[in-house]
Amino acid sequence: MADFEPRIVAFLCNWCTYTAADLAGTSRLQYPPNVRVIRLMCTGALDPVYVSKALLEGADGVLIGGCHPGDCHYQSGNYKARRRIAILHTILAQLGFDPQRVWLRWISASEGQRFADTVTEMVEHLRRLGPNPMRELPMS
Amino acid sequence: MPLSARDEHLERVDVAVIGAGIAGLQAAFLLTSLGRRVALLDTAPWIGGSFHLLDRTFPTDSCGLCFMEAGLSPTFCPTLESARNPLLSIYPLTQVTAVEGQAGDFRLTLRQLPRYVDPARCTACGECLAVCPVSGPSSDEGALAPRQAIYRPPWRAVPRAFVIDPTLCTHCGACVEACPEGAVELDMPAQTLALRAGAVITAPGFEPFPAERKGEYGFGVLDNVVTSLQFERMISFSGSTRGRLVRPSDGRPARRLAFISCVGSRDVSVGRPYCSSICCMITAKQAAIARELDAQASCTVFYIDLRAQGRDDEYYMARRLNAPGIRYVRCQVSTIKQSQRTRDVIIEYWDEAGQRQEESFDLAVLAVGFGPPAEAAALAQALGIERNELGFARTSALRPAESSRPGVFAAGAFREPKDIVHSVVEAGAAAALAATLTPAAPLAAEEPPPLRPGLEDEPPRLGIFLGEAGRQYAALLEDLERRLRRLRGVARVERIPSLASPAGRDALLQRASEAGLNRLVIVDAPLRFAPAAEANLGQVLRGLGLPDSAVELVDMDAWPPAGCDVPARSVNGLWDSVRMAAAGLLRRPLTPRPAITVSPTPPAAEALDAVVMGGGPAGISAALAMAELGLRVLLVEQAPQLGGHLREFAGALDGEEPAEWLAERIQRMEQAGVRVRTHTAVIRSSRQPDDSYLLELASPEGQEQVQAGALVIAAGSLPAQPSSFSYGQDPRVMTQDELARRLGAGEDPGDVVMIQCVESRTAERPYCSRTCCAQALRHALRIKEAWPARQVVILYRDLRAFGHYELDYLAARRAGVRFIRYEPHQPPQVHAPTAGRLEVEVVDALLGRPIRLPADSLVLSVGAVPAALPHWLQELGVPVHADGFLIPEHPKMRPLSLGRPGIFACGAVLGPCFAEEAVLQGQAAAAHAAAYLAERTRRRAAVESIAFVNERLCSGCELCVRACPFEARVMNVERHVAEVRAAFCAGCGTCAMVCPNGASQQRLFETPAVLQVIDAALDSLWEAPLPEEKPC
Ligand code: FES
Repeated sequence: MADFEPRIVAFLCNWCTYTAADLAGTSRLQYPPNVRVIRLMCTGALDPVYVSKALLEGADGVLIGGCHPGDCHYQSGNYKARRRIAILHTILAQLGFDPQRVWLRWISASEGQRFADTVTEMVEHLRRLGPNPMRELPMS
Repeated sequence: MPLSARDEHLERVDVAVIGAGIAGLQAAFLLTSLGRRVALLDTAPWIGGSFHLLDRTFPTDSCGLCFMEAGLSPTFCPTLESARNPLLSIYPLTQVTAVEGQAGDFRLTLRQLPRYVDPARCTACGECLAVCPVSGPSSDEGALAPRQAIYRPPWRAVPRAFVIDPTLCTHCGACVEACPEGAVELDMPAQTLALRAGAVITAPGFEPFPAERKGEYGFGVLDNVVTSLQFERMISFSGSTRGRLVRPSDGRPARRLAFISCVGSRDVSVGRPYCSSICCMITAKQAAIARELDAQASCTVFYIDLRAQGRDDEYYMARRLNAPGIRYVRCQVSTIKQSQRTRDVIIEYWDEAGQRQEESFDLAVLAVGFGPPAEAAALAQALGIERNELGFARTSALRPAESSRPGVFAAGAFREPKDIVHSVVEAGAAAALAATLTPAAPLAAEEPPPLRPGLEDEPPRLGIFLGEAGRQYAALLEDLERRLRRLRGVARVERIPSLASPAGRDALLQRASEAGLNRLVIVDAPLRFAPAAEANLGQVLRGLGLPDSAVELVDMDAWPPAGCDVPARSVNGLWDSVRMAAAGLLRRPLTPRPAITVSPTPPAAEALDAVVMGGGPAGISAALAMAELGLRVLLVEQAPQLGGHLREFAGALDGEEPAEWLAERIQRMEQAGVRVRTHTAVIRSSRQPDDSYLLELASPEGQEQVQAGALVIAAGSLPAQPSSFSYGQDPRVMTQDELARRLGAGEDPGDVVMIQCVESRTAERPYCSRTCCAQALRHALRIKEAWPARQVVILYRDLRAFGHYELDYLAARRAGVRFIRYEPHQPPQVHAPTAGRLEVEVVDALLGRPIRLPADSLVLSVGAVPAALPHWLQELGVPVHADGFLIPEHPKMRPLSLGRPGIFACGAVLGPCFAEEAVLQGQAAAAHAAAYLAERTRRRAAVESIAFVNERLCSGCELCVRACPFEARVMNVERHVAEVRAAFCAGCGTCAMVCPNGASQQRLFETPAVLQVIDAALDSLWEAPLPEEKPC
């Protein structure tokens, strides 16, 4: 599995984690290039359908990044996301997906390094987990 | 004064704000939202003050700075937002050298030092860093993070152009040659500028105590001793060690951490007799974060008193005191040494039992105190304002925002070191007062530009533009362009100059209109937070008649890691983001961004701008400040007279007579047209469709109704009624308030024992009442002054004489007042025989043995309890804490907002506070309420990601109505569909998420478009694996 390059789709909230990802880039921090970022206004607007779609289409992992608890710019979007992702984890497990393919992390706008660290960690983690089982299925 | 000839070229603003830290920025934002033009000056090369040091603040342990701007929609960090604010001009590296004129018309002379890098040309590419040969310690992180003579400002900095530190620069000229844009100018001169302003707010902040002056702690000599500011940077992900706890000596993990309190505070020997107020809390936060970063870390805090002042702080501290891995040791640290072999830090201290102890640690953190900034003396002189004996701006207890010169206001740590939340409040007060001196026209209406006719029917035509933003991107762009040419569905792929330049703007406008494009992807250097580029983009869109939704920006730097030597890695990332942007754009409908106005509903009763509930110092200050800002205000007080606690004050407060102050304010309220109703209660309130409030007032004369746009709750607090220590049964036992009355009447109390924290900081009443220690000290001093032979003993748990109250503590000790500390589990016992004197028995925590104290009076510091709040407040959704005080929207950055539109609070209803603080909060609440009212009825553009409802798909299930955190979604009962109240939509997308039918959607994030982007994100991964991508 040495040459397996995990593919991560990241849904990041506009105010905190997306800005942190921006910061990681502009500060030239080094982290693996395995992530593709999709901006949302708030993690509370993340439809679990987006996560399942990404997984069904072969993403090896999904990273959801939002403001720290208490810092959501829309009062409580991140708490809502936390509840939804907890439910999604149980559903994913029932469908035979390792729920640890879906990570929810709080990364504030100034934490560019934390974003880089998180991606690095997640890539390592997914390398251990192996490719998304969906990728073994014949594509329609 | 008429403009003289030499003044013609002056910039004219309403208010000049000196110091662009937390207080300065808060004042500037409030003023601009009141329509005032503001010049924001700072001696640093960028604005933000100590912002740049902080990743996280207590009590939330999160950043929270972006909540400062309390507008109707969310914002980024204030420094970044200020760059976009059209009413704000920023003057970095600028000192004020003279101020002439008077309130209403000042003329400021400024000196601006050279940056040596032209901000208009610097692209922050970093080529100069590669060649600069010299380096030295940085201003904030010291030797831990050396920086070069030319350096990159902190990430939130505005302006973000590079800077040269003239103390390090050798004028070698290497950077001049290396700069691809020719932005470096080593001979840039200093400039003299001038400014006219109606009012001045001064908030230059603080300076940390130079720790090397405390030689016995070895800072600068021992390897593993750092200051709390350096440590703050270590635990910050943007700091020197990027959130890793390491020993500077060898880079190994620092696990055993020692924190030493009061370094350069409460220390007469170094000329810092006062308490810096915030260090105890900073230390508690740092210990907690250290534990979070490394679960194996153990933290030991060496302290004298724990000064968590007030409610929030006490709650926070209580959690830290009992947290695993954090140990508090009450002692005085005598010296710090280091082991030659291991470089461990060895701390010597005397414990409470009088034993000498020695412990070793990996790292010692000195919690340094704070003093006035270095330029304070020169600044005060230029401004012509007085400083107090500690070097801070002189203000008075009841006119706390006013300096000694009319029209010049002071806020923040320049008045004395203080926590962010107090700086935020003071800035609000200063803004309110400055705004009354500078009347301004109402805020201009914002009209979204018109779209070109027939746009809806145009088929998508997409162009991709590559901005040539600098040499470092050249190879990347070439590679990208080659790939993009193969992309299907794209009408144009073109290179243009960077959009940050006018040339880029013109080229984009011309080529896009030639090709008849209606969707644009722009790949460029970072354009987010680049105001020039944002303005250029706005002009292009206006020229093309396209809405903001027709563009996606792709940042070449955001791609991992564009700066590295393997362009292929970056280009794959970039290539994917361009495709994702294009895919989303092609599915996105081009709807205009709506403009909105709240039209006031015809009033059901007499219409007012604001109603203030509570006529104590906070309520009076709020009502007066709002009326002086031109609002129609009603002040309602339940008691027969105004004044609240202030009426109880015996004698002067910092040289001011509360009674005189009260009389003057009441008179001014009359002049400003405040309507005052005493003996009156608000018994009911309901929210109207336009978010004004309909209130029902009840008084002995009967009931009446009024309608107001904003409510300010200033209901205050009540003194607690103790049930212990024979209070109420023995006339010799009294509360501090009762003592005040007796002292006011000239009664000799005899020998006095005071007990602090009576029925406070207990399980039933867990908070600290903040004011009691200072009150006890003031009374003790008065007794000693009038009757020097009287014995005064104060029994305390932690003596919370923070800030300048520490000077009272010193004076009291000098005057012979005795202080005995007791442990909460061994409270004092009182014997009150009917014949003979009172006797108090207490176990002295220091000596560990009981002491008997005879007394004629026993005075109890009982603290405050919340006033009973009307039930309708909670019905309106105003949150109330279990302890009975109100909960602000954000404990640090929005301390006076209650999370409901138009409802604000000030004074002790938010937690016990001093009269001075009540005044400041009242004035600040006035500024916030006025800003809210100005914004509410103005015509403005809706948030760009505003929600909308596709009525055809709506089943009327109301899930969105319940989910919306802003009450921006209502049911249209006639059509049985959900409807958006555009003025209140903050654009989060929660409603779109919960809608089971896809009827509820969010502009810019329509579900089909997002699904398309997810597809695009994964497509290329399938097509083109990334074999060449190995971490570089
Ligand atoms: S805005 Fe960041 S999670 Fe809600």
